[in-house]
Amino acid sequence: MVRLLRGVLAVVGLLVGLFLGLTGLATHPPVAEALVHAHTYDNQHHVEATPHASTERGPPEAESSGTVNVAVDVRSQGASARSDSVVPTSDYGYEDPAWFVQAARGIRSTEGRSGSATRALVGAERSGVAVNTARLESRVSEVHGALDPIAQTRRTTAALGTREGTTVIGGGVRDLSPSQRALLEEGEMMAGGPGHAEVTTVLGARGAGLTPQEIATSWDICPACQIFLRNEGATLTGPRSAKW
Amino acid sequence: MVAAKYDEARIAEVCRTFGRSALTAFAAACAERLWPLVERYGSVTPLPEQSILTLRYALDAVWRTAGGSDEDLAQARDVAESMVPFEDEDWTIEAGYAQNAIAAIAYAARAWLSDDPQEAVWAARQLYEAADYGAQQSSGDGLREYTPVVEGELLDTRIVREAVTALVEDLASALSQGPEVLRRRAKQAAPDFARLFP
Repeated sequence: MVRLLRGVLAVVGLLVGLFLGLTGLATHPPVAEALVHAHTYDNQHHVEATPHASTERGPPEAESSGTVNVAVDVRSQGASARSDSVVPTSDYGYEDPAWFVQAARGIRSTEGRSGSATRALVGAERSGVAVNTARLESRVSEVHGALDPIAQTRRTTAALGTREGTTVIGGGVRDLSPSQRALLEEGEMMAGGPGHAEVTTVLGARGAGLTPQEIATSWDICPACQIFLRNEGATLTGPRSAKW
Repeated sequence: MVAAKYDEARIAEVCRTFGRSALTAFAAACAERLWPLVERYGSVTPLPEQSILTLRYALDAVWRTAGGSDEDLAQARDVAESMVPFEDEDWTIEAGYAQNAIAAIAYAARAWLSDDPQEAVWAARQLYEAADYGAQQSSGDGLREYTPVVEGELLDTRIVREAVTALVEDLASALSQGPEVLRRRAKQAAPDFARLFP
């Protein structure tokens, strides 16, 4: 009964809120007041973002090595590093058994973004990591989604969880935009600097004395960054995630 | 001095009062103010000269359409969208500026094609974001906490203030004056604005 009453109250509240919102929109603001003192953004069109069909970023020139170039050629079969093609997950050499399970099922990387729950089921001992990864993935999705539709297809966002509890969020060669920074919450910091988002966040965290624990990115981790993360002691757990 | 602040929600409200022509002209003005940054990008990147000319043609087509000419802007939109630099390409500061400047052209074309105020808002964001990116260049690397104080400092940089002022002026002009006046003003102001970018 109490639950029913709460439900009715919630619906009434929503209707009142919607009515007030529409009334507010009906009032045209004077142009001179076009700018006010809030750092807010209209996110209503984020759902229109260009689909992330392409999933992999190429390595930055400065980070390229012979090994990396071979890896790019073999894995992308000569296609553009961020082409519109869907890259099969099985092309990647992940060290996490959970991902081999997914690859064996033929799940493609672009279809597996909401598959954190599936991964969490694979190994009970890994459930805590999977939950944290899902949280980071969710934050990446939110912060990356604050970009305009074209920028979403051109930039990268990464979120790095640390043992100390701080989450470090960073962009790629371009730092977070104002609309992304506006989403940062307490306990989150922004890493700035050149390089891919993975490099920016890991080096930013280490520079601040933080210990990397897990990382999630908005695009598949490129071969150069896979090498970087391994060298940093991380293990890839998916096309867009790694853990220490 | 209290810096004017960028409020996208309010810009969207104003844009919703615009007709299709004013909407497109406002978006085109944002792109026009950033145009010198496209040229700067072209000067440091091994782009064929034809690419820059094509972008210029696309922006001119948007202006002509806002002024009443009947042109198909789908091609202008597609060309601009395809030329927005990726992060993975040889990165320079200019590539960052070009991300915004070229995207603004695409959004201006999209504003006309869809008659959707949000496309003009995206164009406005390009102007502000480019200025913010320029202001960030002096921040250095490393971990930073973006406190209200830091945000305030960015907003108070000349480059961001000029961008915000330009948006206010262009919103007002789009409402009260025709596309040609808006174009002339934006084009005239663009070189000085571009010189503020490091």
